[in-house]
Amino acid sequence: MKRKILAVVLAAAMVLPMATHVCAEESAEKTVITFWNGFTGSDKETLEALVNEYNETNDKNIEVEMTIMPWDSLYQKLATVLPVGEGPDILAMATERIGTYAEPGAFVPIDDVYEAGIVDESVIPETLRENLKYDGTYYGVPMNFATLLLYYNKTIFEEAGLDPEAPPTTWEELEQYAQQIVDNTDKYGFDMAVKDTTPMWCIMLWGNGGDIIKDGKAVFNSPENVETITRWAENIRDKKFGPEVLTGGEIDKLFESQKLGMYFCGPWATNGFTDAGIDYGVAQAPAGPQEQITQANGVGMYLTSSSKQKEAVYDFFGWWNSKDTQVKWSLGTGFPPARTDIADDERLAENLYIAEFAKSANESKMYLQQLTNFAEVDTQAIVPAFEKILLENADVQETLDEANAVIESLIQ
Amino acid sequence: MKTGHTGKRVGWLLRILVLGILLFVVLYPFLWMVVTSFKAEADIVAFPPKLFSGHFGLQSYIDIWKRIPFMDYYKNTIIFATSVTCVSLLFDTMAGYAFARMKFPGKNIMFLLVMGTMMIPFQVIMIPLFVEIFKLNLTNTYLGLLLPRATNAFGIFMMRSFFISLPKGLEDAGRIDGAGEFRIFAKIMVPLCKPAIVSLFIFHFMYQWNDLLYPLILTTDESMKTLPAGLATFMGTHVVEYGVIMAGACLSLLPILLAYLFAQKQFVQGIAMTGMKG
Amino acid sequence: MKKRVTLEKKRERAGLLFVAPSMIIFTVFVFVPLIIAVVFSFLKFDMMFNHIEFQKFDHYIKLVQDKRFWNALFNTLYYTVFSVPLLIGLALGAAVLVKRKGWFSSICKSVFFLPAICSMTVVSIVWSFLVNPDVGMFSYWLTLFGFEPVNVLNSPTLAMPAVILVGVWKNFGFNMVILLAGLNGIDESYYEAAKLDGATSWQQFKRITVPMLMPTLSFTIVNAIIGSFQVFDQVYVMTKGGPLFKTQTLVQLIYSTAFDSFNMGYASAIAVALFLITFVASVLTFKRMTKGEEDLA
Repeated sequence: MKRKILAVVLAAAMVLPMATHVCAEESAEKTVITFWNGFTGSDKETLEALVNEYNETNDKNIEVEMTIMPWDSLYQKLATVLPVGEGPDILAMATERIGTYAEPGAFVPIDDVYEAGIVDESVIPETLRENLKYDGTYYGVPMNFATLLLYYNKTIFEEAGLDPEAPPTTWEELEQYAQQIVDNTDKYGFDMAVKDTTPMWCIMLWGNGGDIIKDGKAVFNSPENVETITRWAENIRDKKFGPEVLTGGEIDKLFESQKLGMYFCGPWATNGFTDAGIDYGVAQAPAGPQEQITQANGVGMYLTSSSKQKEAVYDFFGWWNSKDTQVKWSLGTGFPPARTDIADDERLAENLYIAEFAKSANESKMYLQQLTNFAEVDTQAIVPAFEKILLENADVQETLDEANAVIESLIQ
Repeated sequence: MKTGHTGKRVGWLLRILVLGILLFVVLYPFLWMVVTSFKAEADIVAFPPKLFSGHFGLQSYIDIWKRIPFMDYYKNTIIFATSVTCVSLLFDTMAGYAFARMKFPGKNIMFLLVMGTMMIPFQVIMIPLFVEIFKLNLTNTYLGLLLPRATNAFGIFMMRSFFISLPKGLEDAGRIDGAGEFRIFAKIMVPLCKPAIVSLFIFHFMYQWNDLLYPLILTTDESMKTLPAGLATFMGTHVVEYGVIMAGACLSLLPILLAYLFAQKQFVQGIAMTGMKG
Repeated sequence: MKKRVTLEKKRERAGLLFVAPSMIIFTVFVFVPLIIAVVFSFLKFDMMFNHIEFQKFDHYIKLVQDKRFWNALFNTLYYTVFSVPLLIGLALGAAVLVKRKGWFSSICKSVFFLPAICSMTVVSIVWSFLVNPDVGMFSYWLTLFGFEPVNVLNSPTLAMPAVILVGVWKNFGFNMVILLAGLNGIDESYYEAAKLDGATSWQQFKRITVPMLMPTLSFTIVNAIIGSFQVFDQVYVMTKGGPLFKTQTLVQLIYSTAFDSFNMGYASAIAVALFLITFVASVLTFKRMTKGEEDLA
């Protein structure tokens, strides 16, 4: 009996893969390109619908076969498939990782996409455009683009005696409002996530004229940064504006459960908060002493060295960055479009927040771009520095000096 | 005599108390999981947290059905998990038996090597393994998924420890009858270790069933995707949908739970049989 | 006499045949990749396996001087030292308590096994939510009793104990089932004889259960040691090795070296070190615990 089962199982194991091969041959005349990315969660649905639309409507008989997996699984999988040339034709990932893959040649330069006018570089938001390049050469086309804004809970504002239609516009107002919320309610006033997300602290650093890496040198311990971090660490840790070290997920949960008055977040949260029935607003990041600026994130699409279907890939790149696709992507996900010339498209008016997020596109910077080891700099130097200051009350100057040395050693 | 009686009473009470606390600590997260899978997303993170509050519905389960090709993933996972479990169970039991009760050259070294295979993180051999499967032209096949997992050090080690605890000299009866070594193994030894074999069956099955990384690394084709890989796509980069994730977890838990409940009966049977022999 | 020798030979051949399938599979799919990984540890190369440079023992020298390695090793040992006794103690206790027949024992047996069949990722997500100081149920209960909730996963001192407890919670039922299978193999007549001699439950446990269970017990202990040296999933989901690297384990260090920094050579060197440490720890334990085992061959 046991042997019989075994025989059946083994036979099945042999036959089934053949069956799938047969299917593949039938559609041989199609150009199949593979596309891997990490757009999990709610973005997945919109993306799948758009790719289906492309497969049905494109006139070159191209079929995009998409595989979506969590980003960290994707990075592991890439380490196995790229060296043997078994990678996908198209990869999508955040622009800060371009250097990591472009330097060893896993991504292929694609200046010709822009030269041939398949994608129009003049409509790409400037911050994103510069960071689709590595060493001056284009490696990517836009996939999506987002800026962070200040989310604020109108119910909590009212409870604290603040005007729910007048969000803070400067650091001083932000501090004053947060203090008022902490004093008058049992809620937290304002907070910034430190890890597992786009680090919101850099909005503050830039607002006061600081930076992390400038012209290839680590400047994390500059006097401006020491001043900024001291000020906000005191606000959060000592004046109890909010819990000290939060992950991106934790801070979202805090806002969603209506325990936090204000925080920075990207457009992805709007749908969930609206569904949860929270009365909230979004506003531009409050201006720092030097500058009104916010953080932007971009995801690009890249042609890999495994691909032999350059033309088909370019066709998809062009279609993705067309006005029509960008509007649909934007409406489906809540992200602002990755082109600056469709902000007034009337279809976008459907989502109240998109315009607000699109507005800040050109007053934004991106975190740690153009490095070959972005992830190391982030997890080994910057996050621990904030943890030390916030959790262990470490001396700001000393901690930043130490972190700066680590960054310096990593970017050499 | 009297102290013995109260001692028994106290013992009984203590047992119920300890088990009761353990039951609560183990069950509560599951209760939360199941309840959450029926809740609307907005009610899940409400404060103050309440287990039974808000609206209940099947939305999360419908979502799963709509958003991933659930049955395809289910089918792949069942083929992968069942084939690996059956083959591995056979090889593990054989090897475990040999390491416990047979003599052959190189036995100790080989056993150490087997144990050694448990001490390597998968991430380290992942790249060479993928290249190997690729060179053998087995990527995206069930065979390619099955072969590297066709035996398992944990299984061998576990079966060894059970075969070794069987009484000495059991083989001799068979040998006098002139039975071959495989016959002795299959007819005398395996029936005696049935509870252990059934537990190993469950362990292997659940290990393969839940494994995300291994099938994901060794296949590149969307049509070979397994359930854990499918469910992992509900973990959004920025937004975590607890309801859907918990519904997915409940759905993937079900088959193993059923298998375990079924196997529990087998345990009892196994005991009865050993009892008869002894 | 001659016949006896050939019989012996025949049995030896049978033994080899019994282990052959497993050994062949291990050789092709574990040992060969492992040897390649060891070779990697002496090389330096980029993600595409270009620019290969021979490093001699540089990676190992770097390892000895690497603060992150020593920190991860310390954390891994910390995890092992606390989780293994807790895990096996709880599993053995539970096994003894639910061994008897009856509906209550049956329920316990099923429920305690539940965490084992869940994936570690789901377990970690659930626990992270429950202990979250702001929206989690457990912390909320603490506040009802007037305690200030702490963000345990964010506390440099409490994060590791929390990770250990979740690991124990997940795995004790699994070990309980193995021990139960072992317990059920012990002949009831031993206990009956002991009862007639007036032995207490504790004496029965010490004199009969533990010695008779030794093969199974040593297996679960060694397996738990090996498993705790490999701990990764719950740390990765619950704390990502933080705060301040206080929960970063060796496997997690290997992971981040390999896939964040794409330094496969150095990651392999750490893995070789981990392998040696695990091997020494588990083989020593195993040897010690199986000293009394009779050679049944």
